Amino acid sequence: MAVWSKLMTALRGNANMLGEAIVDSQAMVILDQEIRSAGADLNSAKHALADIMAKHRLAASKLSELNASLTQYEGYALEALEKGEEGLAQEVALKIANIEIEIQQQQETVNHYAKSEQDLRYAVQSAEGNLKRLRQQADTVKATESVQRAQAAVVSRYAGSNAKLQTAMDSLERIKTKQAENAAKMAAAQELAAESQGDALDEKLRAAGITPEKTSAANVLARLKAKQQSN
Amino acid sequence: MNDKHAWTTHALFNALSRSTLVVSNQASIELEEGIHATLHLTLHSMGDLPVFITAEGEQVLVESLLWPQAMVKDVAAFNDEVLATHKVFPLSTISLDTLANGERYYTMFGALSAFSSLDDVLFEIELLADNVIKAADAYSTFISEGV
Repeated sequence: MAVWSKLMTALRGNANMLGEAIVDSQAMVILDQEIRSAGADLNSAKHALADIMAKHRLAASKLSELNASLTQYEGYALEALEKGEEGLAQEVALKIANIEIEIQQQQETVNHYAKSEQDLRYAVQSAEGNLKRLRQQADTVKATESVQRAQAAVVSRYAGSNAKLQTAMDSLERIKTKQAENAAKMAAAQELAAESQGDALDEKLRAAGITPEKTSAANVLARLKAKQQSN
Repeated sequence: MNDKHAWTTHALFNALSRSTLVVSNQASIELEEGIHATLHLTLHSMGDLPVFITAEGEQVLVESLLWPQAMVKDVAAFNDEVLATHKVFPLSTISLDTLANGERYYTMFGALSAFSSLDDVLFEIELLADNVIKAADAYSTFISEGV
């Protein structure tokens, strides 16, 4: 499809020299033309389909009329035979033969219209698909333009200042720093946890009288009593 | 499909502002007004990575800037590496864009249907951010420090 190569030229070719706005509008002009032409294709396919559908319906109803009249004349012929009107029956038989030939021709016409109708339905479907894809492409180009404009606005905020442009690398650095901090915090927390576990163990040992109590009313009193006695 | 509700950038702003991602302060969101409005999401949980989102017709585009081409030490080698390894980043695409100031930037983006659910949009944002950070890590040897 020639449109993609035209689009690529528009997106890439003049980008450096002319800046985004002109490139964008070129891409949009190309897509706009393609969408219009796809829309015209779709309309003409739809009109042709409507036309063929009408002809198909007409031919089909003529066929059923012929079939009805065949049944009718077959009835007349039987009636004529019953009444012994051999000559009349002969005439009706000729009429029936003519109707049968007409039915055959009409059936061919109906089949032909049915096939054309099917072909045109495919054509309409494919034109619709084409139009939908082009619209999506235009939406993507427009969305890309919007995002690029917003990014350019963010970039230009950094351009005038000393602040550094935010790139994915900065985010990665931040994540790594945070991960390192978290790891350090985790290690510190583990140490603290270990220490407090140690405290709990000492407490148990003291409670069991295995290690001496640090300071309690009981051992202060004991110490005072010992002092009194030595005096 | 067409009778379903399609996102507009403003509707996405409202929905994302109420999402857990923003409410729980994992990300902050700004609406950049313009002829075509754009959302500027800063993902705090991803090292303050900026992600741009816009809805246009039947498409929602989620995009993040990787780095300026000027930061790439060997452009040919880097481009080759990107093409050779692109498939490790499912659903995200790397592209080289020229901004209005004439500078070329590598970006990563994902496009989805404007008829997608909010969950799909949120998934796309998280996936893109994850892929961007993985790409930054994987390609860091090609990037020079500072611009």
